[in-house]
Amino acid sequence: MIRRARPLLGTLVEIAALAKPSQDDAEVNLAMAAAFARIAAIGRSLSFHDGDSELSRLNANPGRWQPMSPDALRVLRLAKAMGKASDNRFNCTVGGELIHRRALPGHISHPVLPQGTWQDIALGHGSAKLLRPIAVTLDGIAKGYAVDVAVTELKKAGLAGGWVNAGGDLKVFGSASLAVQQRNAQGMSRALQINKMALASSRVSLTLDPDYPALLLPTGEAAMPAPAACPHSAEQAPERIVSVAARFAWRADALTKVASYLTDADCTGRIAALGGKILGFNQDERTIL
Amino acid sequence: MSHHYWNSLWFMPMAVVTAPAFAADYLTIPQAQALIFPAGAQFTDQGKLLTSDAKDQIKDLAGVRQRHDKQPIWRVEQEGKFLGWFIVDDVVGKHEYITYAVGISPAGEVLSMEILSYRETHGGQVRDAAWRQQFKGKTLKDPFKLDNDVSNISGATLSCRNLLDGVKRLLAIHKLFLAQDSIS
Repeated sequence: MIRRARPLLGTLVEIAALAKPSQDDAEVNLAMAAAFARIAAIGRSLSFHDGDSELSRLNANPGRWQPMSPDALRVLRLAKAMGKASDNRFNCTVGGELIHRRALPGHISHPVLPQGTWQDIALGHGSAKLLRPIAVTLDGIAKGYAVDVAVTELKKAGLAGGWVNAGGDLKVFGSASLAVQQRNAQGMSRALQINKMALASSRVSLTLDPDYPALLLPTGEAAMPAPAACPHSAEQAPERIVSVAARFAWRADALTKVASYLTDADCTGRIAALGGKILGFNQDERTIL
Repeated sequence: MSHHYWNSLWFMPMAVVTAPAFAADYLTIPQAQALIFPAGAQFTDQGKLLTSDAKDQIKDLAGVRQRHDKQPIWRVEQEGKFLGWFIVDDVVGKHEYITYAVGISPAGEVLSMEILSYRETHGGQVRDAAWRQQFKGKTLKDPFKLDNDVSNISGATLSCRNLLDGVKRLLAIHKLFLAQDSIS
């Protein structure tokens, strides 16, 4: 197995690859280089922080069709679909609110609405348009998408297996198996073995840490569990950690945001309906996914 | 529907700590050299000893402190043609220790960067115990903060920033002590 890591997407991205017997190291390294290059390109294209990115261009020009790359369009399409399916619990149009809270840089020159809905983004052939002056931020889905794309690149090269891990958004494919330590906010941990599966985790907190890029949960039309009704935040700790498994990393990534919005009672079922699996937490339990 | 921002939740992307990430050796120095520079490139050890004066200069230029006195540096040539520099360095975060290599062109541009190894600074059991210990005495009035109060689980975000600072420091070393060597 060959493993390499690079600082990308604002985190450390690790790629591991298992070669087929017919493949030499040079071939594997070439496939990994291609996978890293795809991740880097998606990072550049969908960065909110970079004022020159495709995403920033879209945000800077509401009401006008903007040409978009296939990857950018695909992520926007997935984000819209997830917004629709989750009743806006997954909401990629909260950039305005995040700028206001100084969680994201405010390099948009016109006044921006705090948040919108998935309906505010129109998609055409090779282009996208914002129907209202909102700020789209794809932090909650793009990292997972980049992981999926990198895995596709590795599979295309005919590797036997491997994984891509972008700071916790990860996907394992082929014959590879990855041991993971899952921790909850109380410090408990348990071992998981991951095969042919994507996994994502988010820490949900009641406070914003300026040192960390954070995402505001959409309040929009979704019912917010009151602190008292939310056993995690009120009684145990003002924060919790949500882990979701899915077939694709973009979905696992996005569903951690949706799950943070739901109470324990309906979380498991609703996440399952959206194509994910909540990883509950029982100490000393060893789970094979 | 009213917007109760007072109870808005904030997200932090969080790394599930993968077991291999406790300690991972990605590449040896020769492997990294072969990935960053073309086949047939020759590496000549030109490690630098940095005086405290030199370290101050680096800090002034890069804004980042130079910890080590000795910086491993290789001059890279291929059939007499100067290709650039290969530098090995490490950065220390609050919870991790990362060794990495950077290729720098004769003009002072980063050609490529490879992580050589990643270490968490505490060992398995101890780390877990220490990690849990932090939660002692925490109450709702004393909300956890990722960086200050509770050792963060997503060390990756910090690592990334430390790495970028590290590269800034290496580019300062290049500008101060290597660029003039390039003129041959």
